Amino acid sequence: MKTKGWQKVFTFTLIQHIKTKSFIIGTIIVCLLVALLTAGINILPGLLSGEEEVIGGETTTQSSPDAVYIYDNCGIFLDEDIASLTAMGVKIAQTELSADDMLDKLITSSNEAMISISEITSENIVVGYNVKTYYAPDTDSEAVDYISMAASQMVDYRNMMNAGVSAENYAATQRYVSTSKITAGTDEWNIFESAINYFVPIVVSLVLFMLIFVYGQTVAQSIATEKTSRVMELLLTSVRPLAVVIGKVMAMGIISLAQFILIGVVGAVSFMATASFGIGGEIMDMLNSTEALTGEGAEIAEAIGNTLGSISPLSIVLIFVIFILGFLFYALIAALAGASVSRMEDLAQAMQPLSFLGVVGMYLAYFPVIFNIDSMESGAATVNPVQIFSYYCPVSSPFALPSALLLGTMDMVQCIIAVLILAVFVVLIAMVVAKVYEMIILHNGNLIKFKDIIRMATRK
Amino acid sequence: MSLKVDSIVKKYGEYTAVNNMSFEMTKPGVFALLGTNGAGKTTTIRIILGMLSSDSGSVTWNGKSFLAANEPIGYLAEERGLYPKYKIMDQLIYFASLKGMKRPEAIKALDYWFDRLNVNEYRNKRAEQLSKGNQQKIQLIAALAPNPELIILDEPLSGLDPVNAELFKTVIREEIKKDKFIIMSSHQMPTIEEFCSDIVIMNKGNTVLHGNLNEIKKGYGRVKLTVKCEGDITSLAAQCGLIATEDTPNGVSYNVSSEQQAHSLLNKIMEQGLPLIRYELREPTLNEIFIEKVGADNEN
Repeated sequence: MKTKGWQKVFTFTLIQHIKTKSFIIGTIIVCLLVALLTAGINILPGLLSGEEEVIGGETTTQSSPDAVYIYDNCGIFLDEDIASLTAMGVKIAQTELSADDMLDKLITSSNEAMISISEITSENIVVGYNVKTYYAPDTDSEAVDYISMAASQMVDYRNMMNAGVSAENYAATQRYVSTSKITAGTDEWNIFESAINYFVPIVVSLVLFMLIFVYGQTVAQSIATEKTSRVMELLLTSVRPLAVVIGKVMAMGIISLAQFILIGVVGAVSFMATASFGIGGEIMDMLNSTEALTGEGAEIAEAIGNTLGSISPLSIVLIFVIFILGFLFYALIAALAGASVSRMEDLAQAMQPLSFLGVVGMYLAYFPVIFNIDSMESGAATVNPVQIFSYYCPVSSPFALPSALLLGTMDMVQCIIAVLILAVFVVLIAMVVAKVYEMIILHNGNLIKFKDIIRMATRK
Repeated sequence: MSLKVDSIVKKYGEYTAVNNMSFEMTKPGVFALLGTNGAGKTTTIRIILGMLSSDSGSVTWNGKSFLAANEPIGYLAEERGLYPKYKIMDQLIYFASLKGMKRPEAIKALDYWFDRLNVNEYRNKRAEQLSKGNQQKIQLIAALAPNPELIILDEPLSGLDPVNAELFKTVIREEIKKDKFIIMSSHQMPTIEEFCSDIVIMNKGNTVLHGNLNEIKKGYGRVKLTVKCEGDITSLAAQCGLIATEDTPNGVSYNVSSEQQAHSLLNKIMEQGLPLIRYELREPTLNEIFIEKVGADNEN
């Protein structure tokens, strides 16, 4: 049997690879980076934005100016408006200084601001209001934006009230309006669903490319090392070349998958552990209380819910199958590339056709999504023809199919057809490897070119 | 037990690497596979080991089709190979497991060989930390630890210092005593003469000489004459129809067609009263046979 002994090759490769310092250090570094990144998603926005907190239903800004002086030059604000601003977290302060003196003071003061409100007139008719916010140099810029926006909203509100609009009617004018253009016959997405459908394929295809391709290269390197160090000659007295390839590819596939899961678990644990500090907790709250949400919150919750809802157990199984098939597809080609060299210096050259194939596959999965920005902007679930091609083309399907399954942009029958096409190509490549590998593994001398390998494979 | 290589042919396109090679080992001992670089020795060994398939012919072990992966066979390759970054013990256990040995059995065998070849201190080192000679010892351990019945040694002594070369020779003698079948390929003819009973000499893929070494030598007869005496014997040799093939401080060498021709030269030296220091009439060495056969073939 040509594959007898592959389990021993598999076990040895697996154990020796995970014992190498480069693997251990690399994995620790990647896990640390992922942990920091996922924790950073929760923690950094809070740190950078002045740590907004909701306390007793009122929003306060910790770094908001210690004192905000209001110069209402047109007398538009009523006392209740000042009270409302205070309730919105703006620390209104009184002063005897004139506006000019206050401006001079702000130059040297710390964490203070003044808001000057004046009318804009044209031919003695009030056509608008000018809300200017001056602030001390060390004042947080985002906090200034916040108080400026709060004052503007209050001016707008009072202007409408003065014009005779009722509070109810004013509230009606503030209703959220969402716009979208949708091609008839396509699913309808809200803007957040569109964003998820836009970004998830990009991220997933990049991550899969890294995993499948980088570990495929490791297979090539491992085989090239065995060949150039002449260990292969010793191995081949005990096992057939195909058993070596299968053992190595399987070991690297398992390591790749295990490292991927480990990194995912570390990322998830880090995200959950720091969720209470930021966006993670908000998302969890949102998902736990979707019925109470309105407006954008509801749309985000709906988008996440729809995405998670489209993931079935069969999808998860298929994603694993696609990962394994994709890995086999590239790793088997990498094994041939590794076997074609007699010197390690030639490996980069031997890997060029594979690199080209991998990059084309990744771009096929990646660029159609980027160029499908219309889909996100329109809110329509459109998938362009190149994207559909990338689902069925075996070069790109390992990178494109998992996100299509995750997002439900392909129905299950289409997915299974695409997986079958990929499986057929994997079998074809395995047959080529079985035929050619034994011919080239003992070749010493010049690098065997890709066209020579093809010629050997097609020779009767 | 017997190993039979029957009419194997291996071609690469138009180039014939091995042409109709046949030999048989019916009893334990050392069989020599000789030839110049590129003669086809390594290709033959790879075919015997099943690494390469032959275009025609067969290799049988005990009358059955031979596949190294299924047989107890030890192989020391000409181009040594170990994983440079892995620990010696790990890789030797791996190689032994590929030969079907259980881990405890492999460790026991390896312990013996580490002691035997004085490399105990290297068992937990990486291969790249070892000298070339010590790496060669590790490779010999990999070949012998599974206690194979058939051992193929491709240039086993090349690159070894005299002390380690002697250690290797002792180990080979021990394996011969254990009734092992050994195929040895080497360019060191004295070593081959020391160990081998049967030989094949290959040149450009063809077998140019095949048989029992002693019988081959006997077939040539005592045709190598070396004479050292005080005084010039060139004219005496010429009178006997002899032309010197080599003139060294150890004497003048001649190829003689018969022992009679050599004795006639001796008689003439004695008649002249020249003081004779050395007179040696012997069979050709393997080295001389090799050069004669391969050289003649290459001149044609």
